Amino acid sequence: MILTGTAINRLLEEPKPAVQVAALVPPTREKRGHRENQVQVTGTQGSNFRLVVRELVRDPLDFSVTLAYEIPGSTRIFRLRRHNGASHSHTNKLEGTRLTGFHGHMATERYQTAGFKEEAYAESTDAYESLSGAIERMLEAAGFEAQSQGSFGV
Amino acid sequence: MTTDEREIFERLSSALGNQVEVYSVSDRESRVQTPLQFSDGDHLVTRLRRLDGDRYEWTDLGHTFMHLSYTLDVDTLESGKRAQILEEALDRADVDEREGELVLQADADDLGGSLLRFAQALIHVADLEYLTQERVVSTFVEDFRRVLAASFPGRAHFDYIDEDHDPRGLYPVSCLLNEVPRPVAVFALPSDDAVNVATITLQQFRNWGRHLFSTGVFEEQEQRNRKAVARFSDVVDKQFSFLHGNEQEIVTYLQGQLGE
Repeated sequence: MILTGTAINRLLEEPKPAVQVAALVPPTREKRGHRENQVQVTGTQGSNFRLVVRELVRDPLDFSVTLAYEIPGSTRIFRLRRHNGASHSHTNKLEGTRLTGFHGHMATERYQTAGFKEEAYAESTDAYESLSGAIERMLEAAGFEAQSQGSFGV
Repeated sequence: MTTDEREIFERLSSALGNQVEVYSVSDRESRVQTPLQFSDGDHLVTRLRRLDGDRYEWTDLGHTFMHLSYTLDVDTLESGKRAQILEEALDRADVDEREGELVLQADADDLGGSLLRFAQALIHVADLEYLTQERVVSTFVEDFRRVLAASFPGRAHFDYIDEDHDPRGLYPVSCLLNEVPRPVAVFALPSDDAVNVATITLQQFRNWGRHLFSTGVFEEQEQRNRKAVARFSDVVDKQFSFLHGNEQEIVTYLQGQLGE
């Protein structure tokens, strides 16, 4: 199933309730070399989302913050955005451009249509330099209530 | 670049055709960047750790399992077929796992070859994501009805039949909105059969002289037979290629057709 750019934007912009940031940072659930926490929220239009935070045990710069949409009637989740740390490079396969440092993945119709994963496109960012900064940036960018932002230092 | 870094770089470059970059992160550890990628374009994490003398080890620090967790619950790797495939992939490459960290022992005179073997093992582990089974529960029709019932309360007539012309119920409409003055027929289309029935139904309503504005909502249009979709396209006024994630757009469109 391919989500159009319009559908992706609407899901990102759908107002979402504040999240308990303390429940996410630091991640606590042991997961085979990394730690993870997640919360599920329902947007005002009834869409269900998961915000998943992961951090590598052996490298605090290796983290990810993923906002995913739960596709109704399926166990599939559609990753709308993923904010990554600086542990690895990324190459945008369609453009052939290589990024280093902190980067944010975003779902695009273009990459889905070309047969790639929905969030295979990424852009470099200087909007965060830490896991909590990456979460804060996600909350700002994806329609979460302001109450859930600025609850911790970047 | 330190002497150690330069030495490592030269050894790896000769094996990998100058496509590596080496950065020291501590006295004993270097980050080695290669062009090798996961399927989403993220590059593998490969670090070289000096042990003693000419002994080294490659490590991913645990990144590969974390990357895999984007698409697969790594707890499912503990047993069953996935666990077996994982174990075989690691055994083939002599890669050890230490609480999620993947490690390959390497000699100083085989850094290039061992890096390739290590990277291949990481990619095999990452390929376990393709064993993800998306258990699609067919709730499409249920969701279709829920969306329309909630958006058009009292005006959504499901499984509508024109009893005057069709007493045997051969030509059902999934949902008829606003019977007068301008009825809107909405067809739920989860299968090729449903598409074909909708096509025949719309043609039959025309034969009866009943003028409906018609809309088709596919569960997943791409999966449907092309000829069936083409025939349906000839008789329907508007189509939506999928429902899930598209609900609000569909409702807004139908409200517009109803003059709301």
